[in-house]
Amino acid sequence: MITRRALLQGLGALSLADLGLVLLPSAASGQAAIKLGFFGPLTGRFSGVGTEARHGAEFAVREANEVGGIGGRKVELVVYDDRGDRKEAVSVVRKAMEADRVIAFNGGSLSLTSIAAAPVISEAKIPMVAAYSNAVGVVKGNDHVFRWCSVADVQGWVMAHHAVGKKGAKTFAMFVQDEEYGRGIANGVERGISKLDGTVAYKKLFSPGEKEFRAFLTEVKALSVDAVCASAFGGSLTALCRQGWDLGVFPKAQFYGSCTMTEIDWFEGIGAAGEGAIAVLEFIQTAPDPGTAAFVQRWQKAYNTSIVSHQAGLTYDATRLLLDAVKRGGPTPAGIQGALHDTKNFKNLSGMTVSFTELREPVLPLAVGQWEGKLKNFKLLEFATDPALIDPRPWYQYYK
Amino acid sequence: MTTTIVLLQQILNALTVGSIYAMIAIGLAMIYGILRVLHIAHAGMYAVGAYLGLLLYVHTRSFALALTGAMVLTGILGGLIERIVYRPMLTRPRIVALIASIGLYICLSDLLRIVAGPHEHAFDVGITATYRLLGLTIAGVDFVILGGTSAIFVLLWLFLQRTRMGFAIRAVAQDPEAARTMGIDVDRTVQLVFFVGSAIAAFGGVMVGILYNAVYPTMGDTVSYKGLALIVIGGFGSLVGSAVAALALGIGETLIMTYTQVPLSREGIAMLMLIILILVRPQGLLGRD
Repeated sequence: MITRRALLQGLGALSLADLGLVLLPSAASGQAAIKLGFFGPLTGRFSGVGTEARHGAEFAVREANEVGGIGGRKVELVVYDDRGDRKEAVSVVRKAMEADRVIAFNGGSLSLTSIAAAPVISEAKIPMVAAYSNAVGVVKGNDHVFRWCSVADVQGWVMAHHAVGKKGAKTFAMFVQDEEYGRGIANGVERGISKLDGTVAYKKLFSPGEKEFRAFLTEVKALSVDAVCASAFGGSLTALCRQGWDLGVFPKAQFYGSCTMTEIDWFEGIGAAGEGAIAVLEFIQTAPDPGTAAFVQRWQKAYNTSIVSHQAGLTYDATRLLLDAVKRGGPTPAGIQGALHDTKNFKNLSGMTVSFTELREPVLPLAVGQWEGKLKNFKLLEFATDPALIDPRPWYQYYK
Repeated sequence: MTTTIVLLQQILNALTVGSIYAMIAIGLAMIYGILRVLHIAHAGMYAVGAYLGLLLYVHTRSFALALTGAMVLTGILGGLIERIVYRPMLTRPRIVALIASIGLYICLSDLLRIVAGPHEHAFDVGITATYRLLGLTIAGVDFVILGGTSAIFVLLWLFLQRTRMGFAIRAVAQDPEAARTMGIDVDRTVQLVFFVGSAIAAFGGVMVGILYNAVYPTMGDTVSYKGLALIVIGGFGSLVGSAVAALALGIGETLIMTYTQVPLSREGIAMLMLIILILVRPQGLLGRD
């Protein structure tokens, strides 16, 4: 339904971001502000995702400025809209570096756009933290790019292990969004199923944004699989699960979805369907850590909603990490780069401590959450913390 | 499930999808037939119709009222667009109107995002019943879509064939100058076509909204490409041709996407059909030589 919040968010989306302007542009102390770049899809097909990410980044910057900024200097967030387009992403990061002189990036964009922008950023020796871009290619080969979410393949790997180990699934159907993120998750799922002696009885690739799955689900229903593993953006996952529910595929088969199940589209659109659906998540707002609960309260106060989406939570966290690196290493690209490299035991928003590997990838415990209609959220089932499950390094071999 | 049941279920799925495409294609074909303008912004009417339907449903909790209201209001908007945007451009080359139409569509999408936000909004009208018939699973929403589409077809046919206004529309579509000399108000008739076409697009938008429980600013993107393909495939302004093309596309894309491993998007399939048809039958399915 169209709420006042949605209306205000929409109006907000038009203002600063569309114009490439900044949040909190000047420093009260007279010192120049510390400029951080943000880019993401704020208009177009994926604007919901980008807007959530922007809220997360802005919230972290606002909180930092409320306590005096960093070293007495305010922090500015220079916001750019990449429209979910690869060429536009390259163009806006160049502009942010050359015209705005940002000293680091908080990459609030999709895998497909981050992959295009990352080499340009890295070549300019500007550090970047990719907040929710899961494809290996975003970080691999770009030595100034760090990631604060999981490698896509790891999510799929955890998904397969949970389905076989905890749910006893043997036969699977797979739905794969045909781009970097979806293919990465599918790679993890398929290799996990193969290792655990399961069988993929059905696999379907589809283009991003797809909403019509009934024909595919009709085939899946006839196969009576134990579990369905899906990798897609939130709107597609929601449509897939709902339609599977209508056709009686779920809950007979266990539905597993990727981290984008906590996009706003799921919360808004899943309705009465989806009970018991399982998601593998990098951020879960029902984590038992008091820090998580306190954050959710602050978020609710700021944005008048109890939902903290996947992109909002991860981008908030990535910005917090970046700000911490500025504090530790100083407000220069080289200083931030060094500090990010040295990051050890940083407590993330789900209350887990995370360190970077030599590949600039975090060994990130993943939450396995289950949708509860009554709670209208994902209940935490467990954190996958076993390094054999969550280490991103083995997955690099599949991406030359 | 037996193979026959699976196949029947697939045909049902395809007919639902094709019916929605038909609702878009018919309005576009009517407008093209009378003005020879590719009305890209028709996809915007479809999205606006869905939003209006949702807004009215939220306030009235009556689906019938929301659907009717959305059709009427979108129809009025369509009429206004004809009057304000297209009519002044009709003396210029058609490319001018085409460019204006593209611009208008982008503006409408952005307007929806600005006013209602970038996220999907649920459009849940509580049609949750699912029926089992001879092994088939038929969702209540499918009944609404198939029944509603059939009703629209019948009503439109009666309107065009049995009323004076319908006669006027057919006359203007054949020869506007001759129609004018016969005393038909051509401007009013063209505006009426925009009203009817936009109202039918709104019907399609509302149906898609309830089918996927989602209304979002860019929902017209896919439709804009597909609608154009459909009027070309159907035969440049042929209503029956467009409807047949829509159903054929629904069936074609369902079968191709389900039974092949080619990750072609639905728009891709529509465009492929378009290219093949242009090569084989340039005048479209039911177009004249």
